[in-house]
Amino acid sequence: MLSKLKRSSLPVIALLTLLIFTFIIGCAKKEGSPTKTESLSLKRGGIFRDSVLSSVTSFDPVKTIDVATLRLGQQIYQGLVEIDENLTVVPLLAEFWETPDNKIWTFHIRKGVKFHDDPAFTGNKGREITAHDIKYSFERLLNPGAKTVGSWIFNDIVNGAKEYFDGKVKEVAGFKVIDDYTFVIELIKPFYPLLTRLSLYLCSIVPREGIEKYGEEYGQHPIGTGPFILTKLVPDQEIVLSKNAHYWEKDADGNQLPYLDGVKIKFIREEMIQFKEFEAGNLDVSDIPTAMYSFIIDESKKLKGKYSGYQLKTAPAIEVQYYVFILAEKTFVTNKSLRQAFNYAIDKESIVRNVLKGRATVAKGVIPPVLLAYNPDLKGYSYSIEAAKGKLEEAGYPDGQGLPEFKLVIDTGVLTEAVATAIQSQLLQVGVRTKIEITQFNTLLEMAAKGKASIFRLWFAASYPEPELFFIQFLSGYWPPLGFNFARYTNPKFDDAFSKATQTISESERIKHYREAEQIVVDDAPWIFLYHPEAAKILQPYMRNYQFNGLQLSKYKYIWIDK
Amino acid sequence: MIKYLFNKLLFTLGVLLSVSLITFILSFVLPSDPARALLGIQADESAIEGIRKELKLDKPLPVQYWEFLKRLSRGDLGRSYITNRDVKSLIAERFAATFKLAMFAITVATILGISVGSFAVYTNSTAVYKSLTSLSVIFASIPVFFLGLLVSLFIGSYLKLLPISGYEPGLKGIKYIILPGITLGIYPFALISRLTASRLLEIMESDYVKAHFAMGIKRWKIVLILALRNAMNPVITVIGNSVAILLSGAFFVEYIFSWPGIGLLWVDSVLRYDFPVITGIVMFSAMVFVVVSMVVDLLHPIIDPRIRALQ
Repeated sequence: MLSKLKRSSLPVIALLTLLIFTFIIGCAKKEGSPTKTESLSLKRGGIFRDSVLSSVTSFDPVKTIDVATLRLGQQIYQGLVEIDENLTVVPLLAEFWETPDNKIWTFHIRKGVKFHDDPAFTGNKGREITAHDIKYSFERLLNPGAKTVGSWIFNDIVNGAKEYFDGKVKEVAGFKVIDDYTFVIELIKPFYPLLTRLSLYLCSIVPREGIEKYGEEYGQHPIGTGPFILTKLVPDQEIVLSKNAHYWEKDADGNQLPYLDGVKIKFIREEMIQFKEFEAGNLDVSDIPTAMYSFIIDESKKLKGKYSGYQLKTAPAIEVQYYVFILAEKTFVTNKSLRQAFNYAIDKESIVRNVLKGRATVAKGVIPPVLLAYNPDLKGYSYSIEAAKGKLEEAGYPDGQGLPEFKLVIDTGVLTEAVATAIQSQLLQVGVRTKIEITQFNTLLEMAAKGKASIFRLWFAASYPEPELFFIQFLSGYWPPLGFNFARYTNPKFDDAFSKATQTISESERIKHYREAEQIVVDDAPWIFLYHPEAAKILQPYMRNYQFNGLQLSKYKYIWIDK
Repeated sequence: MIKYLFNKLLFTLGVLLSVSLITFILSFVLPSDPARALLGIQADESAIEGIRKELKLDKPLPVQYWEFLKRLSRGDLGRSYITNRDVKSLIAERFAATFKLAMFAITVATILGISVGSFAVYTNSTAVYKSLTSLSVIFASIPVFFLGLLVSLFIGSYLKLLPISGYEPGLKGIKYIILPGITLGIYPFALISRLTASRLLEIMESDYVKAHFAMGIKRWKIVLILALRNAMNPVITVIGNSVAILLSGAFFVEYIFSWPGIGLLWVDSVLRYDFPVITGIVMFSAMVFVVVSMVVDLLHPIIDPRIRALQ
């Protein structure tokens, strides 16, 4: 999601020097590489050592907008459902659910699941969760008094949610506790993506006793039902999670989860330092620094040379990178043919191959290939200078004559800047002149919301595997500041197709409508569709069962250490 | 002395007031919305309005500033927009780490700087003096983020002599402080050593020193006992300034070495538009500057009898 607040990085020059320096070190160092062990019998115990690249200060689900916090928080808390490695919704605290019409949803709550032991409960013993906890947690998500950031999840779809949020009623009519183990959500109209929304960390179940005991400090004393318990949280120093000895879940073979004794999280800011700590054996997993990517991974996506003893995990991210045209202003880009010309003029294949070193796939449209609604037959814009020139002429600017110099506003980052430079030179080939302006990501968002230039670089990573999130960016009612349709795009045909997709019960019908909606957007070209990046992690050779999917959320409960 | 302190106090108040005004205005000129930064991009407009009201962002700027000054006069720096924690205690928590690092860096830089500077003059060799000058120019001009990465990757990752990054409180943490301490201390070391040497050299040329030479007193005694003390005044000013700079947080060094000090807190707060914390840190740093410069002013007459005489 765009709210994945992006950290600004050190200046490019620092990274370049780093690249040269680590390359020199890399060449000079001739040590034996770690080797893979082949033992596959499950081993219990051990501490898994991970790290975060930004600040994590508290664990209150309803106040979380950053990815680092939710990555860790999901080990402590649980919701009704979760997303598995294959990006499908699977039961968690709800044992199963039923819906006749995608409008009334009945969830059957798993029996015997207990909250973590905590002084907030009588006798310090965690009690069993019930449907009342679900109602309490969901209403808290809608309560402005809780400083929630997640009211959008239910506000427009659940019966009575808006009235509750506005303080007009005492409880949400659409959240119904039938008995201790049955909870019903009643929607205003059928809405299929509800299930995936419920997998969000924001929808985690919390106990009333904890919130009432700790108040504003609750985030320092999180109480969940998850496989791990927070035992230490010192911001910017260390986070320690320990195994929940009473955890309810077993693996497919009937083994008690989690396998690990605990997890230690180190705070590191600089991705190169994170990688070096990993190489020194102080971390069990690391991201791969952009500057180091081509030294570590070869073109066939295998680890190279001295890194080949480690393990590599890659997954196509549920993400799209694009440049958005701001259409509301009286700018040149309101001209559809001109926008199409931009799309034709950019050689995305070459950008993916040469700039991103294969670390992405070309985006023909909006939806990433990992989602079910992805359309392999979508008619996009294949690179063609002739087509671009034709469209420019059609737009009334043959060979770019009469066009001003466009400002491309981008945020800082080595890849972002390299891609922008490629785009700039490709546009120049058809006569379109551009100027790159680099700013901080949050400032860029503000500028885009206020329409202070006509072309912005943006990216969108979904926090749950649903096309819905990608398409909200084109809905008529979602213009900034209310929504994040930064393009100010409007097309009733699109709105109609999208609305049908979210309400349909049949999966094939839904996919059909999503694809129809995507084709409409692609034809109108409110974006320059660029690419879908690939996420990667490097692991120590003894790491087992580290699941990694396009959401880039790994569940610690399945991990075990083979040493 | 009382008059001096009174004047200094007035000056301090003036500085703090101007700093508060400038930070306050700057934080509102920036194209940013703390309410949206707090709630995320998907937040409902009504939720954002609610937060704006709660944070009093909907009030006119002068009213907000007046409220801010009123709170400041009670020593209240407000609460963080993001974590809702008291800014004063946030800064206090982080200051311990920054203080440790700054003290380590400045102690090493001072001892080494004065020793190296004195040694260069003691040798009485143009070659040694010139090498010191060139080295100090190099040290003073290496960008700190580059030096930090260099030190961390070379000594920590390649030679594996010390931890690459991290922090641990207490004595066990001593191994973590060395690399960031060196990185941070290099610049003051360069200044101190060079200044010590150049001041000493001037003093060595003065008549009273020459007279002592004529008496047959050894060169090392003259340098260390006679000349060094008189050379110290400008050096103390430099040390004082460096302490003040280091105490207000070394952003790059803390960022690179994951050192949980004020610098790191400041970086996070800026990225999240957490204005109460930003303003709090700026006010705190201004205060540190003023206090340290006051201490330096008080130290001068103790070290230099001529200033004492003037007073």
